[in-house]
Amino acid sequence: MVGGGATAKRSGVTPLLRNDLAGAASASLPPNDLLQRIRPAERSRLLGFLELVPVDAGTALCTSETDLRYVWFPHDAVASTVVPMPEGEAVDVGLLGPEALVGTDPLYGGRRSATTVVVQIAGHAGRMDADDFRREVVVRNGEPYGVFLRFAAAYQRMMAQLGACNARHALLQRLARLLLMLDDRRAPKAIDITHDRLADMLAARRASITEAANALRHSGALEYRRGHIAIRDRRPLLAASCACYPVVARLVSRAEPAGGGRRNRFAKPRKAVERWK
Amino acid sequence: MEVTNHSGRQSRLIEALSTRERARVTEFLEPVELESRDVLESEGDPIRCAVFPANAVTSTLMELPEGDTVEVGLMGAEGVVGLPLLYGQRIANATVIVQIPGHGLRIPADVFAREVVEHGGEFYRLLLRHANMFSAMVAQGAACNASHGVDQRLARWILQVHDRVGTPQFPLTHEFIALMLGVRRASVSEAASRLRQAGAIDYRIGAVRVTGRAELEAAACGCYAVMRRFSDNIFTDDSLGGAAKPHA
Repeated sequence: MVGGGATAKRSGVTPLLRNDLAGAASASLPPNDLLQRIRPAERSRLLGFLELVPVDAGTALCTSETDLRYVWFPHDAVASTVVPMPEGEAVDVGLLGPEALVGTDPLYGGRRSATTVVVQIAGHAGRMDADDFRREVVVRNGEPYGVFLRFAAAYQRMMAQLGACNARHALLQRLARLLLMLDDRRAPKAIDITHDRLADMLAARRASITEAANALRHSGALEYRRGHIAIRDRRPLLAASCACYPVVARLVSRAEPAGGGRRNRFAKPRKAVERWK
Repeated sequence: MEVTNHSGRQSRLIEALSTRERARVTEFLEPVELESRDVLESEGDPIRCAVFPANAVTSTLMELPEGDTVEVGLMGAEGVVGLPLLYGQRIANATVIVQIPGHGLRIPADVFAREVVEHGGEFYRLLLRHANMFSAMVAQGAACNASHGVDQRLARWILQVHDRVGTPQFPLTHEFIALMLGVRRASVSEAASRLRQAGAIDYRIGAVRVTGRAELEAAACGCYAVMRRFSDNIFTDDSLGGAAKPHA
């Protein structure tokens, strides 16, 4: 799932219309919320460098220690930061959807990607050539650079939370947390994902995932059939999830208004946590 | 002022600067003693200083909602505590404590914002590279926590501390290690006992000594080598980004 890097990228991605992000062709697609946070004039300038493409599940958008070719802005695709383990498996440590950009390394002056990000749920993403991104965002050093850097910082904070979560919380809690995070990033209620992939994402055995998913199904949280998981009721998921969910949900909140909420974003989680406990 | 501390180690971030930039930056640096368990920044609170450990080691901690604390990254001479300052943010997004005492250098947050972040240039670019690589280390550590056993993680962690302290023996209790790894104290004691039998470490109350570096590396998961490469990457030339300073 990780090894296929460059080949997967080529086979998985077919350019649609160039520069159609601002046009009618994208009317049915949800926007990328990070781009939405940028003032309209700056945003439309950036959109001129973006190309909307479909991305398949399993496509590597960037690969660890490899030159970064594109920076991606997901619309309805969901990807995850995947850490290949030396033994061969890979573990997910963060989720990226319409609230995100993928390929943050140029923001830090890096030419190569430090991490691998793989599409988990197929959809569409805007992509920008990494050289264009360096010139138009980083060197130009305007509003988008600050917005993107702060997203990158919040995303790092999310990975840290999930790292602690992985060390401490039970599989059922983590599965409920992951399903809520997937649901947040995906407009339709059906999540196109298999138990095998969920097992990969949580570094668990498939049998354990099936067992945990069955428990969630019996609580009325979800139903699933042949690779599709439909969330029927978020309440039992919230009850089953660890309290890391509200923490990470707030960190990369899609609802966060442009420019605001700085203090909120990094405030102590206690209040939100008590609400879900 | 003299940047080198008396243990001979100094911040690699300062050491890596050109003579000219180091001279400019040195003016703002002040030496700081880092005592064990000093809280350098606390999540949700304003950051007072950017701190550059020399031979001290710091732990970046996540406090889980139920009150447990787990370490998600550590830093030594390759790092700077106070990363949010690089993004123009003054509020800590993690809790950072001193794990192994030692020396370091610091710059008050307002001076750092003006002379490093707003000023931009060589030092700022280097610190951004560190932020990127630290992020990669956090990701690796998160995956490691999900997949590797206590023995492997303990060996990896002692190697990382050993690399940064530069002496074979350092002050550590099993209780503290358990807190860092997010496991029970008894599990740490069992794992430490196995590492001792393998000839990798020795310990007495309050201190750990590395006795066999090769044995320790053999016991650690491959995450050690990956994370070591990430921290070395900070100082290899891959910076063609031209980041000047962030948008305020």
